[in-house]
Amino acid sequence: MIKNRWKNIIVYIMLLAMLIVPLIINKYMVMVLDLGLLVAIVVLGMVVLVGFTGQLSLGQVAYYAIGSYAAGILCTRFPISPWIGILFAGFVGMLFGILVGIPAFNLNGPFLAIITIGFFEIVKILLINLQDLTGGPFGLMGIPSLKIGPIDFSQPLPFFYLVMFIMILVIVSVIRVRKSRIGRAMISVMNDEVASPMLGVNVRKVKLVSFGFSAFLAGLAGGLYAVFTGYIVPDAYTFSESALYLSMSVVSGFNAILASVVAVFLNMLPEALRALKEYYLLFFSIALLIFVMLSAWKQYKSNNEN
Amino acid sequence: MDKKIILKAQNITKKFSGLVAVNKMNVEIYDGERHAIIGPNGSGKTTFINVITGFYTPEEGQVIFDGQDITLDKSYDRTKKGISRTFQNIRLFDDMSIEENIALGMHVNSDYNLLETILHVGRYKKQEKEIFDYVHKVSEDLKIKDILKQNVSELPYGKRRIVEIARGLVAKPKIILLDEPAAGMNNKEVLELADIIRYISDSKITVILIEHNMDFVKDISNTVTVMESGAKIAEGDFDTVSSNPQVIEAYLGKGVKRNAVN
Repeated sequence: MIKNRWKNIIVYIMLLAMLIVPLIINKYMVMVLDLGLLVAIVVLGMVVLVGFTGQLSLGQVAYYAIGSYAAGILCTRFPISPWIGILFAGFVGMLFGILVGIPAFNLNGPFLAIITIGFFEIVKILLINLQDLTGGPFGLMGIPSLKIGPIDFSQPLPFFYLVMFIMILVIVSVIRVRKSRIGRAMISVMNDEVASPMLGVNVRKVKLVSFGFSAFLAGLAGGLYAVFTGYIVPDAYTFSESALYLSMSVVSGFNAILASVVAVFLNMLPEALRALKEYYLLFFSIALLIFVMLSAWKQYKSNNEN
Repeated sequence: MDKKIILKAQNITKKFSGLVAVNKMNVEIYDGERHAIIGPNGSGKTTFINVITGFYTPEEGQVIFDGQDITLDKSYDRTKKGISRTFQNIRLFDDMSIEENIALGMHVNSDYNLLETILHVGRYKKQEKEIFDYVHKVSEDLKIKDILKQNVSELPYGKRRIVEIARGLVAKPKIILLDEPAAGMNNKEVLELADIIRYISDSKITVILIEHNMDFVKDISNTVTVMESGAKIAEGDFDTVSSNPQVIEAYLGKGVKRNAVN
């Protein structure tokens, strides 16, 4: 109990620090932080999909891209508020997530991962070639930004607080999902797809819910990205992003709070390592490796205690 | 007294690419009885149970549960209708506490959705309270309340079997199928298990039991069905089937006297 209280206090202190930090760092770093928070939202979806339900996805950036373009196309073609645009982005992402979830009925592990990679490639090719709709390789410009009265959320600082707020809501949602009948069913599907139906769990439904939920979050984050930058191009969405989302969620041990911290931190790391110029990716990989080894060691230790 | 048939297996045949695992099985299970299915290894007991719970679809025959044909129902629908089970190789999940593992069994008795979960509104609070209240009640009856917060890996083997039974019971089934519940248990645990099975029976739940421990079967069951090579060779109370020459032969080979079975 006491240990839990300390844990809570640490979380609150971290939260407070997160709220103050953007006031003291420069505008560029705030923007990097903003993008880190968006990544955190996607990674929280991965926590549910990979960590709870055990469905390996390496195409999560596809829903991010779909969300961006959904919001971008809706808000540039029609006089629709970007607030509705970001919600629309989430729902379009969810729709495609459910679509990709269907092959997951009978596929597992690496085979499913290949499907998700394939899906991402299809999305990318479509984004480049459906020029009338997406603007092709030149992308979409002039996406209107989120506004409330005088506050313009295309500025890094207000956007930071908006996304921070959304991310906290998402963290709470993920924790709540885990502590519910749906979360328990997800864990059941991850552990034993054979036994789950005989315990009353509809495995297909659980998979679709997980895919839908995680894709909604990725789509939402993508939509936020589009209305934040106001300009999106297909090149911004790469396979390595997907791989990064996966490694971030794995490193966090699929803990919702930790996942968001890891996502923000790892997203900042390349900037911090910029001084190393072309070698920064090397050090980034080393840092990631250390992270993975630490979490593996933690796992090893906790297994040996029993 | 005219007893009600709760589960009826008619002419069930299940083949695995040529190998006939279950051959034209006919079994009637009466409401409230403790029905043991015994037989040598590989005689098709578990396959038969798997046909009843919907893991396998039989090539021939029907499963009638509570007057309804459920042969083509999905497993989770059968669980919803009231068929619950445990597994020969324990299937509890290490990523959840014991309490959550048991609560998973209540999945079929709750139906709040994702939105209600995230917003903590609607049916969520009421049902979640119902789930854990019931989990606590059943755990208390099964004397495992003190281990609810532990992890599965911390439990001794015998206790894990009890936890699995608890998970089956919270589904509020009409019938529970126990696949070798006494396997790997010591004598004391087997006695406790017998108490638990009587408790289940007292709660008006029909028990189907696959078991190798003959003392235990004799102690606990009203009816015994003996299987060999996928077919039923004898049925009746324990004393009747254990004196059946065909049964003795199936267990011990030819030319052995009946006393050896007991």
